[in-house]
Amino acid sequence: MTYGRRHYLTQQILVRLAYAGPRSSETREFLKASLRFVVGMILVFFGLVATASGAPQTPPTPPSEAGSPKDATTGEFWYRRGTDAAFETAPVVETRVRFDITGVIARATVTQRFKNPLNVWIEGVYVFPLPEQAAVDHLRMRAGDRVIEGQIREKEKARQEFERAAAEGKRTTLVEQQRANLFTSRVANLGPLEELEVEIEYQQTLELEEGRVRLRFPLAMTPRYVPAIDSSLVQLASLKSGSGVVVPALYQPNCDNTLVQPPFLPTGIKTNPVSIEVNLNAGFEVASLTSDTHALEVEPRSAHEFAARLRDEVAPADRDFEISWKALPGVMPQSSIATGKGPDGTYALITLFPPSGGAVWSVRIPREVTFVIDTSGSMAGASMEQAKKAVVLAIQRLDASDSFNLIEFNSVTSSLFPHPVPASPDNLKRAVAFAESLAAEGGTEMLEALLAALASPPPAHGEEDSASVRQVIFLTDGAVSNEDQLFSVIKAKLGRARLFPVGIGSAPNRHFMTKAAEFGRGTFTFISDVNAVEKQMTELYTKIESPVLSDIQVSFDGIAAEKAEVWPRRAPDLYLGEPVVVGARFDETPSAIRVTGRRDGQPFETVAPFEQAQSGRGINVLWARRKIQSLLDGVHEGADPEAVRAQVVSLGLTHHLVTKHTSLVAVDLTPVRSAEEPMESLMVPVNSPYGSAAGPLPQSATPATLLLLQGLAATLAAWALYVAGRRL
Amino acid sequence: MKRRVLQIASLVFICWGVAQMARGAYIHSKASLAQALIRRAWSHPGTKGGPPKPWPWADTTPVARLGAPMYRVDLIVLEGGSGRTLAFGPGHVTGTARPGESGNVVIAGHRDTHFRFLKDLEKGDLLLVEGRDRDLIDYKVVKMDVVDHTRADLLRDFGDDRLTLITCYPFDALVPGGPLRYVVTAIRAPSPRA
Repeated sequence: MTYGRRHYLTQQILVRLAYAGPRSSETREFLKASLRFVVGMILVFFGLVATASGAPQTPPTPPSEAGSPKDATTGEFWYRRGTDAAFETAPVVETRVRFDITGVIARATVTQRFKNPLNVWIEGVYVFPLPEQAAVDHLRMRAGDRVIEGQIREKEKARQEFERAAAEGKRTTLVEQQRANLFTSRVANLGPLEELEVEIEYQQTLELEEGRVRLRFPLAMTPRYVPAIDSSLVQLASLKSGSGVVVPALYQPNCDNTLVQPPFLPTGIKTNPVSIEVNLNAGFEVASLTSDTHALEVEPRSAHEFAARLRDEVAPADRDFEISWKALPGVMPQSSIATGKGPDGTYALITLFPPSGGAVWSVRIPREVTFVIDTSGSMAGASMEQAKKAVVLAIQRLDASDSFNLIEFNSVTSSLFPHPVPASPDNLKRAVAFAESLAAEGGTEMLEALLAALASPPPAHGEEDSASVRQVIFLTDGAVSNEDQLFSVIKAKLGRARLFPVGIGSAPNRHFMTKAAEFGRGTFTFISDVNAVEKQMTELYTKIESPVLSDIQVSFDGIAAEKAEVWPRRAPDLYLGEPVVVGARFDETPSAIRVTGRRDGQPFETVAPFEQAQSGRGINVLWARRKIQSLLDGVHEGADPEAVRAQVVSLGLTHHLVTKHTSLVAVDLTPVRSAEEPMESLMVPVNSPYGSAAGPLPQSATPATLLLLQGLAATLAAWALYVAGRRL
Repeated sequence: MKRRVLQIASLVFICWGVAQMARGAYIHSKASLAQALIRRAWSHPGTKGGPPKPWPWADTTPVARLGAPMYRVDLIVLEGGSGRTLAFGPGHVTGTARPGESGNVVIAGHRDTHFRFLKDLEKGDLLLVEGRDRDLIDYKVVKMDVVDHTRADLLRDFGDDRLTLITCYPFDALVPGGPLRYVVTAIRAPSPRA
């Protein structure tokens, strides 16, 4: 009862046992474990040397229990509702994607086939990623031979309409945007063992670089980390801001932090198959068409027309799809203009490569480079290896006149040096050792790391410091859910620094990367494959060691300035090989487009005639998507959120677009389910991204037994060889 | 000639074999030795700043003592669930309730060293936790589950006083790094000694 008595009892119960038992029982256990395998030792040895490096394991069977997932096969799997419920099958979504590409614009049709494997009525909820620039403008629901077209509504109204129809037993579909690149489709009143198709269409611009066009389509999402509650962020921010700096009202509770995440399947189980078809009209002669992520079957139709599909007809949705085509030297046009009519006028999408001057600085400007490495749990596995390799490569490229620092973050942030240090051989050696010792675990509290990286350096070098270039290279999978908050921090704290996000893993959050690069006035790089690290990091380095094009202005000849509405209003800085891409709406057709700017302090200008414009479909949608994005970004710069919301709703309704504030909803008027029959709501589980390893639960196994067995087997083999040798 | 090749091969195998065995043995001896050092730190009366560090360069401190009398298990729990900590002892997962406090106390341990006894635990078994205040709390095992490593919800507060023990699953898998975890849930029970 009293402290003393209980303490004494503790000693009685625990201490006596402590010295009698555990050591010997541990040893016994260990010996038993070793003996159990001794018979198959040689086999184990030869088998395991090959797999010891962490080859995927088949998921072992959990303890026998009613309905345990023993018979799980691909396409049908088991999961638990609640911790105590029995295992059961879950709905599946099969996806077919068709891309029709003309020039730099892709029209995609994504068909999701919902399958209900259960004997009850369900509502299926499927969370899926789309490219960050995707403008979803079409929804069709197909049940049997009935086809229902989706209507655009304000988000809240769409949800009410969906829920009413669901309650009345009508088949209905709702497509909502959760994040710029994360969507949800919900299908209600899917009957027992029934199937239903949801067809979504969207428009997308492709990524361009000198001589190459790239299409990226995300098929997986990395589980996003939802950071600690906002109050702690407020605290953290005020701590970090230092003396005399008032933290702006950026950290106010933000409803954007709510995020619906699907259940993720164990890494060994794959579901939700995808098939992909690409019809390409490049508009120039193509030298090669390749994919770094999937094996393709390519059928050329002419010098610039191709059809491609996945070699394996279906692939699991566990990694992003990427396809790129290269132009024959000199045939890729330096500018392209696609135009079409839409509500309120004529629209155009303009892509223009500024003339490339001298590729690199004649005089090397000293740089201060801060590397920030995400070592959160979601990076475990292949991602962590990619990140380490990328950092080590980057460190070795530093010049003696440069200075650098290394920051690691997961739940906490720690930096190698208190502030950037000269890139001396000694410091470089320490940095490489530090990078190689990194291991992934814990949460993704990115805010503190960003603040640390962007913090102004102490004025140690005095005047000359302002001449150097500050660059922050940020390696992450972007598995965060507080994007908006982070963007605000980047915007507010950037100063002289430039932020270069590097996307790592098989399913990085591309929306976060591209916007972080935009707010950070840098450029983004994606590394999808560990073998591509060297190539892609070298490309990034060439870019950031070259002069930047800044103060870019887009204007039109032949019409008054107010007759054209260009988005984004202010073009971002451009790095080597990057084009200017803008959307425009005209009341009158201009004669030419003019781009001006400065390169390394020197002005430049380039002009493209408008008559080369080609007509295309859905150009207004691309323009509206750009305008919406710019308007939403404006909130970070102090625009009134309510006014922005109203504008976004109006744009969404006019252009039939799914946005943050508008959704597409389809309702079949005939009820299929009677009121007495119940309906359950189920999330469709999704695959863990390919190559990912650990989750939030600690990694808790050692290779001790494996090592001992390998040792025993090798010793035995040595003995056998020795004997054999003596007999010769 | 052939004989020479075999001899060299034999030598290579023996060297590699001994090295592997040494590495395996090192993991086990580190686990046992560290527990002894940590135990000493724990039984130290302690200063104002809590118990001393078990060894001067340790990056963790003991936070609790975990006992399973029926299995002759008595372990000192360290702060943090990282690989560095788990090599020396079970780790209290940072962010969950502190041992001795009410809420969900989550402790992780290696399946092949400290937490091997988890596979023998049965429903109704008694677990004891001694927090920094030296008060002893009884827990009764209520269930054992195999879950995927992504189940972060197991770390949350369930509104009751519980102890969650986590280790890798399956217990006999040779290669570490699998996706499954074995989770033992125990609910606080009134102490018979009170």
